[in-house]
Amino acid sequence: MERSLIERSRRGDRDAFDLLVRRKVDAVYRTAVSILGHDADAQDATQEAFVAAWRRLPALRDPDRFDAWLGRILVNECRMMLRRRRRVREIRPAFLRAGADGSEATDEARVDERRDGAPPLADAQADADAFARAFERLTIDQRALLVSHYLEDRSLAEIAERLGIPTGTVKSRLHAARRALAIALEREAR
Amino acid sequence: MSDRAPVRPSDEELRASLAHRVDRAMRGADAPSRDRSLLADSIRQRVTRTPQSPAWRLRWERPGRLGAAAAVALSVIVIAAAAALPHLAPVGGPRVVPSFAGGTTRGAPETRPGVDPGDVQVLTGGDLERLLYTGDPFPVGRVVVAAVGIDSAAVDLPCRPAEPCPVGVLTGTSRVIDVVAQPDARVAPADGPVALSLVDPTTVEYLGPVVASDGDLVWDWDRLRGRTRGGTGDPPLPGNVVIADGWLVGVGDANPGCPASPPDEPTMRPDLPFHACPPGPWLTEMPEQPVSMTPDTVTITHPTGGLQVQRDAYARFAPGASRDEAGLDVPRYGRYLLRVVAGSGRGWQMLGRLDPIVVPPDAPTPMTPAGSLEPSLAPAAADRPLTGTTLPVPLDSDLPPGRTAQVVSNAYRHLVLSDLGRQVEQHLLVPARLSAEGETGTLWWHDYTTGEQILVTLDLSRPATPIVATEYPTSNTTGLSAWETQRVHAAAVADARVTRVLGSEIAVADATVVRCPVDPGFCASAVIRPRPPAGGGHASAPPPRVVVVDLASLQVVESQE
Repeated sequence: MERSLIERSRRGDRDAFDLLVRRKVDAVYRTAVSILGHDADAQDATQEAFVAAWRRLPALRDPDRFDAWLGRILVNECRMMLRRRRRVREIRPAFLRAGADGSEATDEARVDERRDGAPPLADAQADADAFARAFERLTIDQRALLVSHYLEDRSLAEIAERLGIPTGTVKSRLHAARRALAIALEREAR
Repeated sequence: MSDRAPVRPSDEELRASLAHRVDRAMRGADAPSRDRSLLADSIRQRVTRTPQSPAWRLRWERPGRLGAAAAVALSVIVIAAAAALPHLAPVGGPRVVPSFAGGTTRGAPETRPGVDPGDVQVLTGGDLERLLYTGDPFPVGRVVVAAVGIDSAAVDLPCRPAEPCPVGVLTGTSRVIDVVAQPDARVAPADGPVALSLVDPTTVEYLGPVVASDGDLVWDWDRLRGRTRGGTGDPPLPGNVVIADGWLVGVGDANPGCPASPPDEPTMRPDLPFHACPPGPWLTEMPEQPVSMTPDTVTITHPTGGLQVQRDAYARFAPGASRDEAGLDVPRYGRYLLRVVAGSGRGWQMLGRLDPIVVPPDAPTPMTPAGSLEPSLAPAAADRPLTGTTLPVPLDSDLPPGRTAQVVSNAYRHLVLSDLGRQVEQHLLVPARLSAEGETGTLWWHDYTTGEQILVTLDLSRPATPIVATEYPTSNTTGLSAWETQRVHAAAVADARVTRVLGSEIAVADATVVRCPVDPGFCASAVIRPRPPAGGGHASAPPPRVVVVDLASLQVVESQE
């Protein structure tokens, strides 16, 4: 059934493509939002990915690889989205960087001080914020790998198939992505 | 990098964190946007207007050397259709015959908006200092040309791989401005101006020495082309930066099989076992469109004399980067900074777009005494430049003993009035009162236009507090640092857009990773926290509200309890 929709879409059948979109849109959006972390960006990336897929569909030779192909287009659109907007920027005011004696102090601590006795953010919220910031330090490809494996529960073999690379390469890149995330989390914790 | 391995989250923690990230992003969406069928409808509308591209099979035609002139100008990739698709109309874009001469291509824009052909704006150390400390909003990521020196002996810090490295401080400035550079950058003493990127209010990134062409900082295209061919004159050396006016042209979607990622990444299309990356984008003298399409061919022509730059340059630096319905990048004119990354100008990296930048005024003018709260002293904001100076603490100061403080004499409040669309209203603010309790101070600002008061919480425990001017640099305009100025604006905007509770305080939350929808963007976040009920009592205060304010558009982009 799905193969039929893909083949009809390749021949320019917009209705078939619409059905295909409705089947896939939720999963594609979910992948996008997990990579980008923002609803509006994820919707934009999802839309751009499907439109690009429609435009390039005649070039897809193997309909059985549609999902992998679409996934790669989506990751590329996520990358484009960040490059175009380039809007996540970490700004640390100077007065939060150093104490009166010149010693370093964590931003969180300074902010908490500035709240004039307000209770600090809940740990869970702070952890989630720290994770979000650390995750956004990763490259799009690293994010996509982690999302594929840990959120979408794809096996290394599936990811290798999707990316068209050896399983061993997936494994080493996943290792590198996890290490990069750990380093980023460590930086956030300082 | 530390030798010790960082602690990694477990698989379960990672899964949970990712799931939470998704849930949080989806929770933030409004109800209609959670309905994926609306997204599908929107895609259908786009698809209805979008033609499909031909099914291409790549055939490379690598031109031989056609003579000195043509050899540089020519690099053609012909992508022939695997099968004729006569039912397809030509796919958008300019219908051009591939041109080896590379003249102006039909269909490309002809106007050259927004670039003053006059002199390059070269900032002095003082300009840079004022820009960094009082820029409003702070121009994060902007590139500038400045005639400044760098004292590289001022730092002795280890560098971390793959991160900007501290290399010195600017000389000739009254405040310390750190200079960082990429790990592979060589910071050499420069006789002329240097290119810098503005990182944050105390930091710039060194990009390289800006070299002139026969005394002119903007390179003439003939000279640029001549020198890139190894012609007369000394070619710019690797690491040098040149300035050129021209059109940034890309290839948009017309790059089948080309990954945006490095060559060791998988190919974009699974049905292509190799990378087939057409060149581009380029900076060109004329508004050329390097891509032409017919129903069965896509041709990409290296523009004549165009300087090929890195793949993401168009998306990052083209003013108003956009694609047309055929998926082709629209050429954009601008003044760009380019760094030579290979000998004799054969390789170029675009560093940024050199837009005019407004430097805050130099000399402050005498101020309205802070104690004078006559509304008549507040003229219309539009009639009055942003001037200011520091004054003794005005009314009701109860600073801790032994402390002196100076505060801004005036500032402006930018309001986004929701009932007037995006119209911004500017109100003059005057500090009305400063109070302190322990190490926390509160500054009341009086808005003459509305009669409202705005409260800013200050930390008095360090010399780097915004109200102590002796050790912490302050703005000529507001008496606050650039960051503090942003905070005031953030508070003001938040105040305008969020239901205000009298007596609530506005404190600034951690400003990390806030989303800015403009480029360059700058956002601040603020926590609006109602005060506890007077006299104790058990009534619970309303929960704090967190707002994120885009300071470029002065809009609240997020608001949640």
